[in-house]
Amino acid sequence: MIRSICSHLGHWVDDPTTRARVIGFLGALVLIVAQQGVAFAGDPQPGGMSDAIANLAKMLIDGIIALAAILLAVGIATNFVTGMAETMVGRPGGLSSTWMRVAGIVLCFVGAIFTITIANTIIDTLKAYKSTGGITLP
Amino acid sequence: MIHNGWVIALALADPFGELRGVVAEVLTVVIQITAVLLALAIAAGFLEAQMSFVAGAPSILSELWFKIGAVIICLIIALTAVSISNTLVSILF
Repeated sequence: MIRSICSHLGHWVDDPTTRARVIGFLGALVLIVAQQGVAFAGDPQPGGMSDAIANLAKMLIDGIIALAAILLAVGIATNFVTGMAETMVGRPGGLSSTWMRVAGIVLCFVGAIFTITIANTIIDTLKAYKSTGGITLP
Repeated sequence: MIHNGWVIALALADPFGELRGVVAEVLTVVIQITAVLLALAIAAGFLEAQMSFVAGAPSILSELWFKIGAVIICLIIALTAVSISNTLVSILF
């Protein structure tokens, strides 16, 4: 099919460079027409920008919580390996610092999990200070 | 003709009405973005503190509280932006 298009174009356009440009332009046109449905395939009643921002933030925070969960597992494992090694080489006091580190890791994980609750609490508290009047112009 | 007269009368009553509406919408979006940034700062801060604990430098946790405090101050300023602007305009003009 492409070969037949090229042969038909050869009758109209003699210059190979111009012919290549015309073929490229036609290909781009076909791609645009073919992919047009993707742009119109959205929700017929989409939400506003507020919903989009909230969904984006929730997605990012979910990713951060997943990373925090991974770090929780890695932190507990590595700290206990460290404590074990320290106990093995004759310095068991290092094990006590392991508990504090694990407690810190768990505290940070709890903070990351309750991020949305903390943020909502702060925003609800500060909402009373939001400006309600109009903008004064000089 | 009468319709055009009403439009002109409305425009003369508040010539910056449209501009005020646009600015109010922009401010609403900005405040929403600030609220989202607050949540992200809290989550990212706790993640950073957790990483510091894992890596063996737990003092970074103390910086987190200052970071959250700064973000809350920024949110308060964004919420009261119109009041601050009005106060400045009334002082300067």
